[in-house]
Amino acid sequence: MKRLCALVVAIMCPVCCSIMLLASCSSGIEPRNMAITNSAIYDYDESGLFHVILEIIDSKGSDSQSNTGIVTQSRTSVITSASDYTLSGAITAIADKLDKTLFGTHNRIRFLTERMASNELAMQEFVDFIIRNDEFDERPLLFIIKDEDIEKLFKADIGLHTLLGEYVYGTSRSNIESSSDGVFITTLKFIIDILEDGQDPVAGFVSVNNKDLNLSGAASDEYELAFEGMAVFNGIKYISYMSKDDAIVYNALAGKFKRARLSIYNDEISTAVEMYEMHSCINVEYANEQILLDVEIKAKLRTGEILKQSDRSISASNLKEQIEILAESKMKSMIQDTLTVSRDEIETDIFGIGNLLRVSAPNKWRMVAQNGKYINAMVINNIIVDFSVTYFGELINPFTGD
Amino acid sequence: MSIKADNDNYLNRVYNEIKDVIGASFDIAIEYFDLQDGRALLVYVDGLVDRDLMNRDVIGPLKSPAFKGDLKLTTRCAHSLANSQQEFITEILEGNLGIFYDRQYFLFDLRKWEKRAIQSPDAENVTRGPKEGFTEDIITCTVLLRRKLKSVDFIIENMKIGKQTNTTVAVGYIKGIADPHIIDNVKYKLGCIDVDGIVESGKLEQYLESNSLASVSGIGVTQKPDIAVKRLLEGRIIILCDGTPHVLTIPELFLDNFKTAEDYYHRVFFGSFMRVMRILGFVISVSLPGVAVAVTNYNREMLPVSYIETIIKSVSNTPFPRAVEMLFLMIMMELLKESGTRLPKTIGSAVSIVGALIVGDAAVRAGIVSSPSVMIVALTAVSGFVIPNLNEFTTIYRLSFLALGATLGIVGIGVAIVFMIAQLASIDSFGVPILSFYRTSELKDSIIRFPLKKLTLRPQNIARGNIRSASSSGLDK
Repeated sequence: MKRLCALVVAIMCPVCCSIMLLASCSSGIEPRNMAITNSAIYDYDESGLFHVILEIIDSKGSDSQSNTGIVTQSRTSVITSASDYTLSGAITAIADKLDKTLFGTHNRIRFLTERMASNELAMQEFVDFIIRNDEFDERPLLFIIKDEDIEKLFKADIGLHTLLGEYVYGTSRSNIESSSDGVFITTLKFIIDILEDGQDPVAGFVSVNNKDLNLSGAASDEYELAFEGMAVFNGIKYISYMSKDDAIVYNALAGKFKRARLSIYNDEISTAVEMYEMHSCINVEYANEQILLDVEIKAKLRTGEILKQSDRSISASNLKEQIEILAESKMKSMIQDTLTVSRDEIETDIFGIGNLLRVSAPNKWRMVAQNGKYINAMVINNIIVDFSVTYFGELINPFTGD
Repeated sequence: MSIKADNDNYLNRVYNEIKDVIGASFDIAIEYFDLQDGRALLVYVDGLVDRDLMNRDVIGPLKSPAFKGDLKLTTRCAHSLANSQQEFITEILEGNLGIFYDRQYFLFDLRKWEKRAIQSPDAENVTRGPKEGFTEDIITCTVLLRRKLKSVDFIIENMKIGKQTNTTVAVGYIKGIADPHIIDNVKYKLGCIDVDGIVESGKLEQYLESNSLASVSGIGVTQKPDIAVKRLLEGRIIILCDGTPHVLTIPELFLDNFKTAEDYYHRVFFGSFMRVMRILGFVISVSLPGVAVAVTNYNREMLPVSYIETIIKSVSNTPFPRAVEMLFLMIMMELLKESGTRLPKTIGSAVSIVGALIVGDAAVRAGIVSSPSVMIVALTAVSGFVIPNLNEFTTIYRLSFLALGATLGIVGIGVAIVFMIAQLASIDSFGVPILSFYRTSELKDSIIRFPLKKLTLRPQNIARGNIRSASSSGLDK
């Protein structure tokens, strides 16, 4: 019996110890001892210093309640920063200042300044830090911000939110569904695109604008954030900002398109349509040392308002076709422009054309890949855009008020 | 010596013997009783015998000139004869009227004592269905059962348990449906109980269970006759104990704790929904404090930002770790429950209000505990109230979950769950594993309830051999 007891104890002790270790028993931290970051800004200057600014949830902040019972929410975060020659050094310096354990898994947003994103060495260190660090994971959305906008960022209006990170995250979620003129990429997707053969990454772009509060058009000293356009990279290095039309094309060809508005007009009518339920297909072929690209897009349109611009009669029968043709033509030219700019001006493969070729024709890709600027060999063979108006609203013809 | 004198001597001897055995108690009346042709001895427990009936049907006729010496023919109520003086005394203590006459021990069943009226039980309130509940009087309990179960196969066997209390314990079952092996096993175990007294079925339950250290006994309890009848119809055995309204049902599966009589009276979707709610209540009641501590201390990345923001703000000024906060609140909750139960109803509710509202609020304001912890423990308490039968089980396991969650995080919760399931799986109720609800027929009445027309089979593990309870073929057309 004694032997049996000793055997049970001998087995149970290592099992219990293993469980304790597996459970990271020692890593238990009381919530009051945690400094939970909600957003982070990374900057890099010419002297080689990394500057990290963290938005940390303030444990002392509280909602104030007025006599009327209305709860007014104010910012409940602490902004803290530190600099060091390494990112981990800067973050450790912040943790030391706070006297709390820095906790990064609730970090929603990462902002990178343009000067940091355009520095290859700094970006390498950034990616390396993110991949290695288990507390600062790859889920946060990645945005590029202009250098001069950093100071304004934490002064910008964050609507009904109390944390900047939550506001940007919430706005991004709603923008992803409602407007495809901005790009919202997680850090993970960004890193995957860097590591993927035949693919250049993009990131979101946030600009801090003066709030337009009055009808006179005079700018106020309050700021608001805008998430239009995208930041385009060549490999790991930030190259350029691209406009919201380019972002629409990127979302359409990358299969991330949800809905976006398109303003179209000609001599007879002027209208705004909303594109939705978009399906795209890109075919890549390699022939005669050229990468031939065929793009096909199908989408449904919903008309917003239709303005009659001339006295010529617009019959209900051909109005639909007219709008479809106009929209198709506009979209086609947008695609053409974006592809041309990405090939000729910024020379990046954000659409993953090289990757498509790698998958469809691996042998040919090996030949093409030897040429670092393979994107220059891209030839736009055919662009097919097929739109159909499915919803006109209550009126078939333009409203005249007669 | 004449026969009369001989009888008188014998009567005196019996008087002295009875007096020696039970005469010390003031409530036991041992009186000589003069008759036309001699004397008799009248023995009864004052308060247990209906005096009016005694005077009208027994003493009156015996005193009348019609009495010719034959007691059997003269009295106006049924009687029996005790074989021995010991049996005579035992029956008298049961409430019978005893008359020793002509060297014979006559017994008259004139029992009547003050008892509680049939009321709705406190613990098993229903919005639909019978409101009546068992009482402390075992005969009333059997009457309530017989009124609902008018079957010749419904058998109630009784026995006496307790050397001093001589408590009447009855075993009820439906012959042909209940498993004979379980019946024999129950009767054997009851027969083996050799104690001074049994005054409540809870004590009986502990003598019947196979493992005294198990967290659940595998024996169900009900105070409602309709539930007892339903259990009988499923092939279970009931045990009634005189002096308590709590009737035991055997065997009891773990899932039976989540079933109520109302489940079958309501519409199928609502009945199933409420059963799911009860299971959810059990899960919350057992695990919520432990999971809350584990998640916030070890796996806070699982929590949404807005919630962790609230937690951080609320715990920033409290001095104790969250696990200690939870423990403090849980102890407070148990104290409140206990005081609310023990005190009179009016004061009990006041104590609950004082405890829950004033002390809880004051503790938060004083910064001793955080408001999320109060909310979690309150939710745990409310969830526990939906399964009162498992109160002891949930209380013990709640503390285990908290201890393991606080020390090992989510892994600790996993360990606690495995341990709990393993322990439940190891318990059987008179040969029936209490987790055995996985057969096809039982699944129809397990976590959700199928329409009654589909519930044509009894639990196969319980009613072995006779599992068909209904035929729905006609109703389906």
